[in-house]
Amino acid sequence: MSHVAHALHRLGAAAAGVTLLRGALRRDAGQGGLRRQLEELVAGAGAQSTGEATELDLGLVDGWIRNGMLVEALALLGGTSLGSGEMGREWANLLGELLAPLPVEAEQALVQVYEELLSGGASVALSLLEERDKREPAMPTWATRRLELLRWMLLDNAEVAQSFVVGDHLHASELAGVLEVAEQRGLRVGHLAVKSYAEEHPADGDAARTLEAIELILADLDRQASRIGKSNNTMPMVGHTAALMQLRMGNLRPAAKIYRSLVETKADDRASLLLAEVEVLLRVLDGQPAEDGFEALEGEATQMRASDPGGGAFEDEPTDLDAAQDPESDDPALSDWPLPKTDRQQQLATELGPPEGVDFAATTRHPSADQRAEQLIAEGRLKEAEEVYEGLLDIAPDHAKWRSRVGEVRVMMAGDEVDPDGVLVRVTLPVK
Amino acid sequence: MRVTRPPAPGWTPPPPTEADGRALVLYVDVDDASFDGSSARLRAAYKLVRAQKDREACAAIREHHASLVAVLMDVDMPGSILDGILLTRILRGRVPSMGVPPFARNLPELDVPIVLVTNRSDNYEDEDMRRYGGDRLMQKPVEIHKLTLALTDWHLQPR
Repeated sequence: MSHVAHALHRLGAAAAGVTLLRGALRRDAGQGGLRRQLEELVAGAGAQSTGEATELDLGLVDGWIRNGMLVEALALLGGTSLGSGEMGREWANLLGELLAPLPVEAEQALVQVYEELLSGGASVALSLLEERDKREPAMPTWATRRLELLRWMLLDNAEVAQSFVVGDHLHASELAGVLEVAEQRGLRVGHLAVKSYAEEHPADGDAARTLEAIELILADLDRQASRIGKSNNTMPMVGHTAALMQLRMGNLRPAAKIYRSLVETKADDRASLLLAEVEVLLRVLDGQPAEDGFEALEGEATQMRASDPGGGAFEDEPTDLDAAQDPESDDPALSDWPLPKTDRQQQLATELGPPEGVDFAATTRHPSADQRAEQLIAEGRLKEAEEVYEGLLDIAPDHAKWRSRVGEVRVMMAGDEVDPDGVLVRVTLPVK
Repeated sequence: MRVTRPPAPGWTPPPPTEADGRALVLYVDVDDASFDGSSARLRAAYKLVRAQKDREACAAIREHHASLVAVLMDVDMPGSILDGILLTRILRGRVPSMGVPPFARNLPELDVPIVLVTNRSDNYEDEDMRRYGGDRLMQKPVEIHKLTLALTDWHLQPR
């Protein structure tokens, strides 16, 4: 950034260099070097730059737009001849429209969008605009058009962004490269990229699971947005709201940290569910299988045993529950989870059995909420399990497996509703 | 570096000129061709209110000052008592009232950027315009990205 500002000054476009630096500092105020350079430029002194010269071209502008650095992109187009060519002129005009100040009487929601655009939060701005677009009264024409412009800049070229990322960088896996779009440009953009990839690779179970995780998170984002939209109160930027804001921007690790804290301090089921989904994405980004299941662990364990001549180190790893819940722990020796069952619990678990397609033994380091519900069932704590599933259905009312499972739990609680052959009578919950 | 962005899709057409809601900009210039050229380039995001001469400009400022996001002012303003530079100095409170013609006295405070526009940008320096209270100097016709860049800079400045 410093080099570009320096180059703009040398080209006689010091004013564009000043705006470039102001935009960069608005996005990230902690860049002391840029602040000093800005002060020099404002004072009329030639900004000093060290290191290699930066080539100014449309590729640089494109990369900045993709990363939401719209002010910087506009400054570069406005301060150089890059904005004069056919493509550069088109981008310059679009950015000129998108970043134009709002009418004085614009509503607060649109003012917030504008502030996000100037602060490097293009993905957040897009989400806010989309949420506002769903509400009445209808947005003014200019705002609708800006929504379309922003969609084009951030979403419509997601497939191109996907190839751009995969082709130009080293990633843990091809899917990780695609998913990195979410980290770079927000979860909604990442969703399109992963969806496209999953459709091209229908046999890739990890891609399907990754897509499922993103869609579940986005569904929660939409519900949260809907709640905010109906509320007249300002939502405090803590807990779930803060985590969802991080997710919207593609900041998966900070979001996971917030959820982890909610799970550990409040046993928050919704946080537990979302944490499990975020961890799916983080595993994929790290090149690991999407599901951190028992089979995968077994596979690793087998490999570790094979590579360990003593064969005893693996078994000596800690296996207590605290370690299992430690998010920093990569300990694969978690075969003691779930905890040993009592006879009654074992009986109940056998009677109920896991739902189809759920391998209860294939647990994660952080058991997800549905796994915890299954654990409660296994321990005979049916009422608590029912409550956990009800909480999950509040988040995902259309989740057929959970709906079916809670019905089974209720049947088991009723006891006499099991038919004489021991076959569970399935109860269908009314749709909320 | 590879540029892979696809062509922009067909958006909704720009809002009609009469549509309200876009940011309001006062454009002071007697030259119709310059106004038309700038208006065509800016209309996607800005609604222009036009004043041809100094008196009209002052009247428009009195009427619209609360809604304006910027003023574009011709440097020369032929046919007016005040040229763009003097009117800018008046709007910034840099001219003693005895030196201000009656029609330009007691104008409301205008806390928006003033961009001076000209066909002869080579004859002036950006820095000169700032010394007189202007914020930028721009070549006519005004391009939307250049105006937005100037207004963005204004918005990003600490106040």
